[in-house]
Amino acid sequence: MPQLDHRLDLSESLTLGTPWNAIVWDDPVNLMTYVSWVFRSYFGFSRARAEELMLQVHNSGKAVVATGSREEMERHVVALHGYGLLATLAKVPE
Amino acid sequence: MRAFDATSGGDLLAEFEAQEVALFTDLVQQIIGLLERVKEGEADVDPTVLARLFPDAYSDDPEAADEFRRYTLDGLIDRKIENARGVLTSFDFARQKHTADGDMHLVQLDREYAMYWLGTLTDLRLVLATSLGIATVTEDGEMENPDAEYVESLYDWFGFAQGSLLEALEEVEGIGG
Repeated sequence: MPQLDHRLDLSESLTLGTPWNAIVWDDPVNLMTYVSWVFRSYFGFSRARAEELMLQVHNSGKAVVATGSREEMERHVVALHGYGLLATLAKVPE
Repeated sequence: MRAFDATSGGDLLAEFEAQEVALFTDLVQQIIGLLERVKEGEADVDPTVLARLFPDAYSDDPEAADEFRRYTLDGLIDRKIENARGVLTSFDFARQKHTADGDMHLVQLDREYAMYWLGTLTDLRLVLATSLGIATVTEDGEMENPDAEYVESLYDWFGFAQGSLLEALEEVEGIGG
């Protein structure tokens, strides 16, 4: 039986080229509870992880919420725009 | 308005006065109208509103951001319109309760409709916040935009509605999530 870790490694190795980050930026409009709910609802993050990322957005002005192929990050960004969050994608800094 | 609360059956329930329903549905219809105009490419929509509803996906590459917007705009608009129509539908299905203070409209949402509401409340607040940003104070301390206070009260009201909906949703979904 393959371990779950091996499958994750495989999917990473299938990602060609430079990895990209999806980034959520702080904005003065969205409620903190809403941002946290979006992270749980859309990404399926645990409550603790969602809170941690939300606070990072709030306190540091932004947080990386996902990393992967450019296409995958574009899908995340458009979904987050659908929720009304300020999201961008950028190459993972070398 | 009476804030959203979880029902024993796992729905979310709030009460609105008739005039609140009228105000709310009017603004939601205005959002739908705005989104439809954007989709049809009509140029009368405030660019700062557009930039906030459909933000740049690439902060340092305007060309890539434009291209991204071209590919994603219609889908995003459809999603936002679907949310807004969902909100209007939930008002259509609201039961009425007679009270001493007049008729109250009981808006009951399941999880799907709660998501429509969260999306539309966000869009309403984003648009209102943009209008607030436009309001400027003159040298003698007067608001140049006479609607600023009214806009701010709406902004706060939708924030209150959204906050209570999220709290009620937490209660329904439990602490496991």
